[in-house]
Amino acid sequence: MRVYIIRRLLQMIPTLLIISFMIFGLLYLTPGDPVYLMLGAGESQSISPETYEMVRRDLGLDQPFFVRYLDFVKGAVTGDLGESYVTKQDVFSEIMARMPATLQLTLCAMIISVLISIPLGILAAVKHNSIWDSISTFLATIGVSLPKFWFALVLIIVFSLNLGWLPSKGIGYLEDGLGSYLSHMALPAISLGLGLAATQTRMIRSSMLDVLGQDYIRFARSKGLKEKVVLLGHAMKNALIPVVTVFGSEVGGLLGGAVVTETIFAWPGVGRLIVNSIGKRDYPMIQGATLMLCTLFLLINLLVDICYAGLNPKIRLEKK
Amino acid sequence: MKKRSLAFLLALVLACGLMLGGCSSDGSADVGESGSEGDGAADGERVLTIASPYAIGSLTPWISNSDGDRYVLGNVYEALIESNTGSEDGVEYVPAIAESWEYTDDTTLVFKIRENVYWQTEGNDLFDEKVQVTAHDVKAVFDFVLDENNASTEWGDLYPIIESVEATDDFTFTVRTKQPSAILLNEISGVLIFPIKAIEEDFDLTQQPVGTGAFIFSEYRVDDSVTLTPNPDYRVTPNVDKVVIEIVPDKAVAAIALQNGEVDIVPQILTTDLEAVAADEDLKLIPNSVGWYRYIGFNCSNEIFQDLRVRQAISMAIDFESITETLSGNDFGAQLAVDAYGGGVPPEFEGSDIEAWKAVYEYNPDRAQTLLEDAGWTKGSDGIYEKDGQKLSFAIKCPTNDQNRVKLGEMAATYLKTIGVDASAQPTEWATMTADIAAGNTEMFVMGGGSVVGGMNMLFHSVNTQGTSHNVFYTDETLDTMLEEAYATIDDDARIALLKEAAMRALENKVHAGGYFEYVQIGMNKRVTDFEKSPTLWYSLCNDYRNVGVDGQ
Amino acid sequence: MNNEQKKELSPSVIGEEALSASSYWKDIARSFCKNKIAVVGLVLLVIIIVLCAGAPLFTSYDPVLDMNPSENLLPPGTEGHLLGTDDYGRDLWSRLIYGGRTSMLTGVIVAIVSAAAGVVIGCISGYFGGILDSLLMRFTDIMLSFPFLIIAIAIMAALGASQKNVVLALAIIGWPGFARLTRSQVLALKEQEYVESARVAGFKNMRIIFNHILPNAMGPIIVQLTLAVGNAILSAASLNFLGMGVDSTLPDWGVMLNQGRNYLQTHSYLTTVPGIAISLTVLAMNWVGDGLRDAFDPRLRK
Repeated sequence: MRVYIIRRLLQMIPTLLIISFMIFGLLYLTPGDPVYLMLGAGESQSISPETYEMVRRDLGLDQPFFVRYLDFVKGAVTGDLGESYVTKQDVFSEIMARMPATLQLTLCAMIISVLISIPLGILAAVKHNSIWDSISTFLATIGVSLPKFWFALVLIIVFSLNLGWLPSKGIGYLEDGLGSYLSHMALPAISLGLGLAATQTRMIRSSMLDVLGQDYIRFARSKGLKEKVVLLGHAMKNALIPVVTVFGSEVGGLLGGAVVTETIFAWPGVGRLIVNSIGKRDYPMIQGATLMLCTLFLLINLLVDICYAGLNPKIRLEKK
Repeated sequence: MKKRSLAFLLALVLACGLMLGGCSSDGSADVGESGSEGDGAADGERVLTIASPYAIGSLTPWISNSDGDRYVLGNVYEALIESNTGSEDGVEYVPAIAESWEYTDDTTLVFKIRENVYWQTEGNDLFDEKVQVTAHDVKAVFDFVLDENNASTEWGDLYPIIESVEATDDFTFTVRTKQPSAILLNEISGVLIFPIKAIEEDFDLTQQPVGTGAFIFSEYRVDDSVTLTPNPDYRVTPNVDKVVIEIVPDKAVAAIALQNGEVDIVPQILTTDLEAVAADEDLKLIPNSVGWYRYIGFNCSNEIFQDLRVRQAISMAIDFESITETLSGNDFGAQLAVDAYGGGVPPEFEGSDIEAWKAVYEYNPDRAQTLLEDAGWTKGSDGIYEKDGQKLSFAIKCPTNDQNRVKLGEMAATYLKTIGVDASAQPTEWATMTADIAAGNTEMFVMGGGSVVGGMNMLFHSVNTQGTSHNVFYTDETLDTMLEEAYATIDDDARIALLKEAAMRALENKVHAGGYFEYVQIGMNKRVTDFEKSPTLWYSLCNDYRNVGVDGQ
Repeated sequence: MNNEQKKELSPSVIGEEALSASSYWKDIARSFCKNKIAVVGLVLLVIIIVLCAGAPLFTSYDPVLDMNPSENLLPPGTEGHLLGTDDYGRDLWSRLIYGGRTSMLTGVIVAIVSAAAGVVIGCISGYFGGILDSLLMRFTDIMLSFPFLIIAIAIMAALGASQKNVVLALAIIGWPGFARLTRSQVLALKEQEYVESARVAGFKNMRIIFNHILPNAMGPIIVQLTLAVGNAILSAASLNFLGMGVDSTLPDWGVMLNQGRNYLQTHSYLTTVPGIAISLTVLAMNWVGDGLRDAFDPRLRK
């Protein structure tokens, strides 16, 4: 196991190198000019060629592509991700300032999703073709067919505007009290968690159905084990494999891609930072944030792969 | 089995209940709290809350140029003068750090600096005691900004105009220009005066802005809010105890927060939310004092659009009046948009002459078709015009960050389709789109802007439009000369006449197909006082001509 | 419950191999037809397809050219406009059924293409393991961890705007999820006794993958596939919003939803109408998918 983890961690180095090169290359190919955008795109301000050149030099964009890439890699190795074009601040600290908000939201959304999807998914599988089954199908369908913004706005309109129970926007800080913290967290976490729960419920139902038909479940039942033990002890563990996988894939989306949720709820997270930076073509910020999220993502998926082994001893990690 | 499913159900309900119930009981108290922040009833504190849709970019006074930064910096720093677009006679300038100014000749402008301006002492380590601001401080700032090496975003606007700056005595500041300039005052109103001492002592002004304004920068919670508190040394005492600028990127949510009483001012209410805001007794809508120009432009370097007749035909085939009406339609009598009739200057600015433009404007799809046929285009078997085997087919790019502009593009494309022009509307991401326009990678595009002093230079001057998002690739030396002459004329009447002539020339040559002026509505809680006098967040909420406050109920 | 379970389990797994291919498919079809919900789903799907494919037969309005700004935002049920009109004054029903053509086609093609690519890569990766597995999985990691927005803008810049490229871009973004899912299934299944025995019996790798592993791994994949359709319709709209779409005056369910976004407070039908259309389609596909899944599952087939 230890060898496997070390090997995976070592594999991360070339992976991150490729990621950094890809992101650099993609940004290079992406249309849009940070210099124009910094100068307001000339919308209500004229841009003289001299000004343009001045800003371009100031941002170091007059350097050739590979020089810029090598500078970036050199910096990244020593932990220096550069300076944002827009704020002129250190990229790493700008990202870290927003990371807690994103992690808290992601965690809460995951908890909500697990609390909904596991009971409902198991219920739907055990009572195959029953009302519970229909409910889970219905929930999942709604979850994928309506855009995230729809959920978010409807939640705000109902719980904030009409009922006046919860604030419509912003984050609550713990120093302002737990009440403020939770009430600000509720709507964003629910809207994000419901979307996740939709797919998860379906996954759990489907893999539970698979597992329930397996020989060892029949064997466990015939041994006269209690249904609860069979379901939660034997079946659940195996049913979780595809669920954990999908979870691992979606966590990337949650961390960097909760953009819609973060924007609508004015949540000061990393997703919003990335989107703002893309809008301004703030290359150092996009590169830094992507690299950090990718690292996090790779670590989480390493955990997911380790979980496979925990859930099913038959999958041997060391196997070549 | 039954028992078990019941347990599951219970767990589920409990899970949801915990999240919802647990939060709502705390939450309801909290909404009340933030809603009554400015009530004054709770703790007697008068708090004004503003929802800004823009992220804070840079709070460095010589670099920032986004609206979001300006909402903050405009309250902490002052410029020599401010421009007030809310005035009835168009744009007027009002005193800030300078108490008066005059032209001693066409190229020399002399400012008299107030003798009661001090750097902020609270909340910073830069000034321990009251230090007066003199003409030397002002000169130091202009010298700094005019130095190319400091990479100030103001540099590009100032260096072509300004010859030299000088502190004649402690309270007299003189600006000499290379030639007469009608936009000098406007450019000067953009230069925020910051303490040069900060540069000398390597003090980080970006983390802790220190200016001369009515408010002290007290806290920035990243991507969430900025808190400002009154400056006790300021010559006017602000009518509020605290200003909170909250960053709410989604404008629809900002409108909901306004209806909830969570915020007091929302600088931009989406057209689609106006109805709900107007219906709320506690709220009020105030139109922006300037109509922002939104237009469809041609890329005149494109082979199809080099022919003036084609441009005329396209302009004539689009029912801009209907488009404006659709965008402006509402049940509460607000004027949201005004047809530009092909002209490009909002009524608030010099050179605007909507009546004259209206007289030559024409929506005439039949004539449009005749014009196209005159230009050699014939309808093919599929009903689409073609010439030399080339179809009359192009895309209108529209920026996706503004639904009204997308609507303008889509409706225009539909009108063109009905006469046999294969026009499509292509929503495009802002950054991509601006780069595309600058590089000429467009056919037609929907844009906006130039609704500032000197705006015609940005929209129509063949050199100034290059490399900007107004790049129409239209070269007309006569028009260029007219504009240059106008902006070098200090005499108001003469200048206005020249600008009107230039605007008409641009209109006749169909540089833009047409457009409208959009009056963005500001949403405000009625308890806010004195804001309407000059409804903008671009300048300080408290100075000599307005002092925004909140009423306790 | 216990009785039922026993019945379901009775067909033996080994017996499947002995059956001929045609009876295998017949068996699946029969089992599918027994599932009432699945049949309802199929009927619903057929109705939607007929409505969209034969759109001109069911409306007299042109979804684009019949724009009448003076009659905009009419509520559903207005005379002449079954579902009302949108903010441009265009008939919503005609836009809905014409829009279904693009949306359903895009959704289904994207889901199938990304599933096909993902399943192949996932199978290879999971079955063969080793360096190949490491390489492929690190590659999927890279694809999954990248911000969607950057990939989309870059693809758009490289390929230009067209519906074909929208499909391509979404497939590029969509396959890694399928690959990881398939791999995890394959990993679990390849250690099963019947796979081991097939290997001992000397079957070729490809045969083992396609005949023994894949049919048993299909459950989660089919679920993911049907859900991916809805996702693709919505993502296509967001690509359109980035400037990758062809012409935003043309009707499309996802685009309709986006355009109705700001009318949620005042004219909510602008979002509910296309929302229900997408939901119904995905629901129908889900039911069909569930039916297929159950039909494919040798243990559940009766």
